Amino acid sequence: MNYNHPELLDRLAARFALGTLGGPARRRFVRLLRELPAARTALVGWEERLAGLASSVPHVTPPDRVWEAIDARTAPRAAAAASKSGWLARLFKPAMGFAFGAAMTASVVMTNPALFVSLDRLAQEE
Amino acid sequence: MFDSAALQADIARLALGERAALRRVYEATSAHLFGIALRILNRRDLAEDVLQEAFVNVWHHAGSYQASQAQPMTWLISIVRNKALDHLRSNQRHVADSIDADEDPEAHQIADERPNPMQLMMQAAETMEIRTCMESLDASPRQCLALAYYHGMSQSEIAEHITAPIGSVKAWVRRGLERLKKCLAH
Repeated sequence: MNYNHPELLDRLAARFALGTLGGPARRRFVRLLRELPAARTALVGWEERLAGLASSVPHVTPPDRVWEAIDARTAPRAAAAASKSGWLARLFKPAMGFAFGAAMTASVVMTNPALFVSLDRLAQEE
Repeated sequence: MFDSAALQADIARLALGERAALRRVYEATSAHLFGIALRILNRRDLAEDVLQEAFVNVWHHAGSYQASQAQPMTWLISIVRNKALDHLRSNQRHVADSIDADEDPEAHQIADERPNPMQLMMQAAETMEIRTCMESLDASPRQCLALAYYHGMSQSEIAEHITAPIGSVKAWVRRGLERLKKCLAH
């Protein structure tokens, strides 16, 4: 198909924006959007035209849980965790983490020296 | 109506990581966007999921908005509609089950409450000042356009819904879109 044909591109963009471009044709157009600026321009044009149709759709207030979920999923995790613990804990956290990890490794190796050998062998047998 | 300039400024701010801007965009637009998702999906739980996904997406990809050159509300509506349509198409074979299932007794009630898409379209056409232009189009193309836009129906679903051959539906959808473009160009 010749996508350089502006009218064809416009028709595809129209159907994509409306939602009636289905299956493989829809996937091909998504790929085209990445490669061809003219496809993006055509699509934005159609999205603007169709957006006007949305003006009559009655508004419905979503329940609070929707925002709460968005808020939780977009919260900067590190900052949220840091604000909960004090400065002393923050200072010692990396050191304590390292010490804990080292202690765990030592105890695992000491109690199961065969574990590492057998893992090595497993890797060789693969 | 939405304050387009304020919305645009807030999208730019949230692209820089300002969380208060995300909240403002949500407050200004979520009722409209939820309404749109609800029309298409016809189920509150799915519409809530789509709205949530859309805003998480907005937060992570607000930087790409500038490049899209669209009006801010158009950009947001497109994200919500595309997510709702993806959901609808990928769950097509489960739809029949979910409507019959006991777990979702509200499905039918919501279906009955959905406003007539033709009325929605002509009401929008009035606002867009293209009502007369759109009314000069036959009822079938208008109906196809309305069912596709407001209920997210595929062409084969429309054909089934209005009991018409798929070939006619394809031609009507095309004529509906062509007319919309023509009406808006004047």
